Amino acid sequence: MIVVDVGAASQPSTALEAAAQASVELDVDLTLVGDESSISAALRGLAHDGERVRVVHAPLVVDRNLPLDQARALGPLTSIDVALTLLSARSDAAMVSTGHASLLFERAAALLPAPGTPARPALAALVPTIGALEDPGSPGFAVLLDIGLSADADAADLATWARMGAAWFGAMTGEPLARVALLAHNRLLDAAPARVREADALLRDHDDAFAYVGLRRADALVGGEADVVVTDGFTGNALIRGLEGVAEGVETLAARARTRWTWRVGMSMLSEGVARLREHADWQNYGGAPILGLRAPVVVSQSSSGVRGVYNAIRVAQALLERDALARVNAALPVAGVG
Amino acid sequence: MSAPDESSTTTRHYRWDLDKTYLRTDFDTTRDLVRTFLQSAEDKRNVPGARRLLQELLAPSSDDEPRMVSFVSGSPRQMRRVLTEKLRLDGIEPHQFILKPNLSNLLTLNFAAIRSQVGYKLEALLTSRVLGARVDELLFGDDAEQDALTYSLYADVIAGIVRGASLQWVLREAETDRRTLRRVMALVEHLEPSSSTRVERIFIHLARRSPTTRFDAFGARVVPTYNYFQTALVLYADRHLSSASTLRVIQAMGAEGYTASRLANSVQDLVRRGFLGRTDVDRLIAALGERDLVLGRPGRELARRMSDVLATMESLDRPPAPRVERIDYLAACSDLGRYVRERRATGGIGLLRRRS
Repeated sequence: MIVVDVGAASQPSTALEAAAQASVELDVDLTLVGDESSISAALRGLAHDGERVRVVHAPLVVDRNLPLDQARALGPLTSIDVALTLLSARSDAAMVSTGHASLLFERAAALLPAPGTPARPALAALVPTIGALEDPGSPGFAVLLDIGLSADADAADLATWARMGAAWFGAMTGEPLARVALLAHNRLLDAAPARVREADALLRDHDDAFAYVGLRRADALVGGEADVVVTDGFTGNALIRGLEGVAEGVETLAARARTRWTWRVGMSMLSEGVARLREHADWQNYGGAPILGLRAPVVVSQSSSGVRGVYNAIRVAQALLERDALARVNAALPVAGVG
Repeated sequence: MSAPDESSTTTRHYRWDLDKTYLRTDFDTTRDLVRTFLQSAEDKRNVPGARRLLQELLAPSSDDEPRMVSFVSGSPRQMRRVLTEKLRLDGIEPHQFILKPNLSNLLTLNFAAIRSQVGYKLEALLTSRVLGARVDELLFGDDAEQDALTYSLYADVIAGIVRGASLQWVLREAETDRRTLRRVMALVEHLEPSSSTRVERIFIHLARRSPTTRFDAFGARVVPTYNYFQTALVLYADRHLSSASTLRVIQAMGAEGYTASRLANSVQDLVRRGFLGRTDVDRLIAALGERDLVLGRPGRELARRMSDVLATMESLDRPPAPRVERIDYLAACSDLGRYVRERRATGGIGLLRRRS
């Protein structure tokens, strides 16, 4: 079962449309949480599978732009809390949310702590790599974590996230030995911040669950030099926003090209390549970002996600469940922490 | 038309479409069509719960009311032997079984008649009526074609609400061929002003999962349902089915792989759409609770599952789906045309546009 926090979406219709489409096209049962009356009314206008959809009423919907302290003050009747509570009561469920991210992270960590580990959760994004353009058999993505949960990560956090990321990549792709790197501005260890140097030392002393390849620059992420790239939440978030900006730039350029005939001619000659590049760079194709380090799968969809983005987030949640990926991630965590 | 029943009892006439309503048929591609045509009776599959529901509706009851089933289908007459055999295997003996004369339409180059759905079905429904002191009809169709429109039009024609020029306009708008149109108009001319036949409900099986707002224009007489458990529930609420019959439909759905969760969702969906009220839900839950075994578990487990799902709603009290006094058939034809075009354009499920 996938629990979708519909009520907290910046555009309720986006999450709802995605869920409706998923109910018809995917073999999945969905529980939609939010204002039940408005969800029920909107569902009637959407092609969906009524026997696969259940609506759970949550009296309060958190505005995405509400300051965290005010959002927190709304208490346990928000759609985020109701959805997380449903999730915590089941062992066969995952959750997708496009809602108030900070409140979601805080409440998820409180209600769904991973069993027996002191690990801080991390948000893991899928980043398209050029591998998919060159080799159709490659996974076509790398995992970047953390992208926003913990700005003040220390060396132990980075090393733990490396293990979680590697386990998650392995669960999702079937690759036995993920290549793991730490993000830095070059490969020289001496030039890296202290926490990165310490994490490097911890990872060089790791077991054989993954292949640690050392420090890598941001361009190595898209270049596919590593399967898992680890950094703190502040840097990861800045990097992911930059990549999104580049993807939007490609879109804008392609749209501008239509305004001048000489550009149109050029674009039509490159049409297949441009189409592949747009498809490749389109973030909606890469679904949502799962929070690793919880005891149940929670997938965060970006605030700018369109219907396809949320739909793919539901597919990611379904894949997490089917492959029991979170159990593998949590099993990779050392009982007493790394180092 | 069948000979009138002179007794004063009410005759129950259940009139079913076949493909996508009673049978799980794929005809979206030429390959599907060929496969369907070549299938043996044994290979044909029912929509889950359809056979059991029909058997329960036809089962003799204490009120001694005559009950009968007829099929009106757009399938070609050449399939009669296989389809009759399929119904025989299901233990269903139809009072009438009307199939479309596609081959003769083809040989006479009447291509418009091959395409025409509304005119063909309306004519077939009118000619195969059962007459009697009082006949209550329940009609069963699906969302793949134009069943909601055709059945509603039929109901209003025999009730004397739509006749003459307005009927002619609607049939033209629905692209009915000239010959069929003339025959329908002649039939209607000889209809009594207000017949003893009454269409009580029209059930539309949402085989294509169409948005249910597509059927709002037809009012509460048309009930779109996602499965035959939902259809059985509405019939249960309308006192057409007993609780024992409804539970047997649940068992049949369970045998087809329906889980308690999907059945509970189905109940919630009907309540949210105003087709099932609190009293009937309570009655069903009480009946389930008394059963030793439903879907291989104690009945009270499914009852509890349904109660839990309903408890998560904001409220169980919903306004019933509104009745429509006068259906705007011309607008309905136009909406339907738009929907079909959209479905073709999106290459599948209607109103789910693939965003680029």
